[in-house]
Amino acid sequence: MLGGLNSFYLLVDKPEVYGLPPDPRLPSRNLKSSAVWSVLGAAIVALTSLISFRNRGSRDV
Amino acid sequence: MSSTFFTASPHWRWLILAYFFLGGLAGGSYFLATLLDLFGKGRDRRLIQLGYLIAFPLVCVCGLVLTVDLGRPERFWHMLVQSETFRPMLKMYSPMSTGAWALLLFGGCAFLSFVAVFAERGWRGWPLLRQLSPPAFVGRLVTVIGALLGFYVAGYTGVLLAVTNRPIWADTTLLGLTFLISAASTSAALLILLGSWGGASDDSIDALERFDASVLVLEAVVIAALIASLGRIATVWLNGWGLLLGVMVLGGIALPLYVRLRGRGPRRAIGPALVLLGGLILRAVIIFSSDQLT
Repeated sequence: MLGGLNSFYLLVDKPEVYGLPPDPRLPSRNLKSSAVWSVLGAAIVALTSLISFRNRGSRDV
Repeated sequence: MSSTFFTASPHWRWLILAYFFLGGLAGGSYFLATLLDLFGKGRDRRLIQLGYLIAFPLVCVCGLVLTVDLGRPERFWHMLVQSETFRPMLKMYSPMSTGAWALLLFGGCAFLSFVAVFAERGWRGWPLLRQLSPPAFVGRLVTVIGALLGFYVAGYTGVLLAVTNRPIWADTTLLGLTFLISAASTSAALLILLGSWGGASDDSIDALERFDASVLVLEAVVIAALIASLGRIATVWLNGWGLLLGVMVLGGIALPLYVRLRGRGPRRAIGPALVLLGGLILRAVIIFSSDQLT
């Protein structure tokens, strides 16, 4: 599940009974998708700013 | 129950909240100033200068706040340099490590653009420093790199939360996006406020207000998506924090949009002030509501 931890736990009850998470996951699992969403957000903000700053109707110089 | 509820809180308090908020303002002000600089009009100059002028002091405060928050502030440089080999301490898989470097490099770009504004105004008569602002090649290079780093500084804090394994923070992948959009809306609000008082042209302020209105709508959509992405875990916000988030959406997004539609003149400052307050509340809810769980 986590891979490479070199740890082995033998539990005779549910993990929660021992104060352990029922479905442990590596914290880094969110890194790629969070970064992709952020890059997408940056692109949208940049595009929105271009539209707002360039498109000023008849007052353009 | 999510596995994130079995982890210990880092107990991040007001200094981290201040960093998240001010870092967003620094990065956002810089990238807005750069986009105006590269794609705006000549009459935007005053607003562009304001953006560069506020980014550098803000990023200095950010560095200070982060250093003070460390248990051993005098060892802050260990975030950047390996103490034994003096090689760069850079872990690409760690947002905290890349963020520390991004903050340092962004501070460098912000400093150069800060100095360039003074040179542009005839300060000390150093014509070479004017090369640090567009349309000079070096100026374009500095501002484009600075803007990309500004985007990074504004958004990486949310990504950092997502890789902590803490409740709420690690139960969604949309916090980086949320913080980045919020940084854009709060920075635009700050520039509108300062520009209105600092002699920016009405046309520049109008353009920024249009931008801010669009980003505020986007922010509302992103917050809704954030709550939806949390699924059942969003029920932890059925308390005062959830109420505060609701107040933020109404007072920091809906009300400023309404004021923009209805108001002119003195009322113009109310909307941006509410947006700034909303940005601070949004980060407080996200940081502190998770801290109180388990």
